[in-house]
Amino acid sequence: MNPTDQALIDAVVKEGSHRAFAELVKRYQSPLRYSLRQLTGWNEALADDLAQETFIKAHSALSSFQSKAKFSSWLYRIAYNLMLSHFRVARNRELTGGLRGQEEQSLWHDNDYEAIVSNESLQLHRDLAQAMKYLSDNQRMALHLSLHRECTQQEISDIMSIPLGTVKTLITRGKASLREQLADWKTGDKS
Amino acid sequence: MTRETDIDSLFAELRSTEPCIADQGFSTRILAKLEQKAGLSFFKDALITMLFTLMGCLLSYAFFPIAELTALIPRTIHISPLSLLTLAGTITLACSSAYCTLEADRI
Repeated sequence: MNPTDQALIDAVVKEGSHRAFAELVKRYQSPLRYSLRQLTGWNEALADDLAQETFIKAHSALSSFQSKAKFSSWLYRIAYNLMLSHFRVARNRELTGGLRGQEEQSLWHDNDYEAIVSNESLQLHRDLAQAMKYLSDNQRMALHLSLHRECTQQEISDIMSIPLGTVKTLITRGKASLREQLADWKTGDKS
Repeated sequence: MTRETDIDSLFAELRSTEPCIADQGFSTRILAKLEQKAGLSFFKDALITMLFTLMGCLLSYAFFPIAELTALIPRTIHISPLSLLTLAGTITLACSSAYCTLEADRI
């Protein structure tokens, strides 16, 4: 039987077990890396760097993790803050205009994925990430957590450290913006 | 089908076809980084830092011409626009450094 997340966390905190932490990483690396790819316009290199940093920060702060929260929500909270910091620094340095001006740094490596989805499906994931680039960082995160990860609004509020009302606004506006993007995309597709 | 369900069904499709990203050494890289960090414990790190700081202080005390430097301190200070500008610059630099450090440490 697989040990629970809490048992693994206890093993890391109390015994300093790297094996237990490796198990946690193996459990959550795929969804976290996928989410970060969606949130960074499918920039694989950046998403993987952020995911790696997230796990390292999580390891050093694991003793402060409260078992009331879900481990995945806690990870998303760290990842979200790291992502915001990254974009803030990038904007401050005027290297990029956020994601919009960012060059495509990654290539599409089909080999990275287990062969459970078709190339067509993978293209859909990538297209949506591209469309979501045009939303604000907050809208992108709220929309992803709500529609893809199916988090409750309270969970999103906790992860993003924003009031519940703001979560609702972000989701509504994010959906409207995404709808516009997808409409343009569909029009462009047909023409 | 409404526009609302369009987006919802799109995300439903994405959920059902979410690719499983293969580890391919990802967790190994993280563990390697953690091992590097764990090489020196917090207390050892702090102890070494304090030891060398103490050595630095002792050397400074022994060799630093403190009396001569104290004599150089002006007895009166005139505040000029240039000195104000220097002070403002120093404060700005200190605040920027503190901000960057806090941003880097933020979880």
